[in-house]
Amino acid sequence: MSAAEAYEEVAPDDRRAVALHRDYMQAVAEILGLPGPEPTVVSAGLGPPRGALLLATLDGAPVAIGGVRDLAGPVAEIKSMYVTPAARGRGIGRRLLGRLEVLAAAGGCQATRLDTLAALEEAVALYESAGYERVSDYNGSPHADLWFERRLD
Amino acid sequence: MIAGVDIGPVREEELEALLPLIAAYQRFYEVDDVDADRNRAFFRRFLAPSEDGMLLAARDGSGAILGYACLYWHFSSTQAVETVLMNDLFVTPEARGGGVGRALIGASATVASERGAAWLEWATAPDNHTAQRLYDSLTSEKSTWLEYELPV
Repeated sequence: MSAAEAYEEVAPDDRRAVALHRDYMQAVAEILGLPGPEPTVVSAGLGPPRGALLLATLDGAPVAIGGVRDLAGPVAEIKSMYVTPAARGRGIGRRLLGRLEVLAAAGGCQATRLDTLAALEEAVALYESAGYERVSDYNGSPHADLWFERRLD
Repeated sequence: MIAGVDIGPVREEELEALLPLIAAYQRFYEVDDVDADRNRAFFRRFLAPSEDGMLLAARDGSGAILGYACLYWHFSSTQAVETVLMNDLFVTPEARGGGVGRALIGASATVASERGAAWLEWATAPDNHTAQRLYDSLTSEKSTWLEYELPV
């Protein structure tokens, strides 16, 4: 019997989501060799009406988050995708992304984009397998070195 | 809806505009005697409110239909629950690659959830890998049943 996987939309201040986002910031800070982040809220714009935040659980335990914003425009942005190390390899990140793309499609967006770091190899592999193609820097973020976009299916 | 699609139940006055999409869906599955009159009579039963299911249309800003899903109200005897079967999902070739199919699945899941159904289910052809890539991005729950048909 496989573990029960579920996805729910949560508010940006949901304490489980905030805790996962803090883990995510710490993981990125370690990769970048930066000091640990301030206790933080999730990225801006991930609440309704123009954004959404999804939480994935395995047997009720929170294991992943992912957000989408700019739902009012032609291209939505995926933000804050994070799967806890123990929950990787099950396809949760792929399905979390797929569900964020549903929200983007339902909002009328025709494409989604995101920024990431080449050092996040598992994430980059996920985006490429999910149909994302490299595009040029669209936001000038100092915390990114790769930018991806895909047309929605 | 701001940028693109508006999804909702097919309206009575939209049924004529939907028929060519239904015919295209049937031809995709190699039906060689597509019959508009039969389709008109058959699919009318799914116009809301319906005891049988629901037709959902995705429309662009001008109201033109970009795609549709036909939902059948369905059941599970093993779980003793109501379910929803997404029997048809079709997007016009011109509208593909813009999220219309993905949005229709999302809307179908919302309809199922609002009906209190236990799940949304659907099937596809084993060689329709384009569709499978979309479906695999949404769920890992894949049936292992074999389907039989007995002509009667």
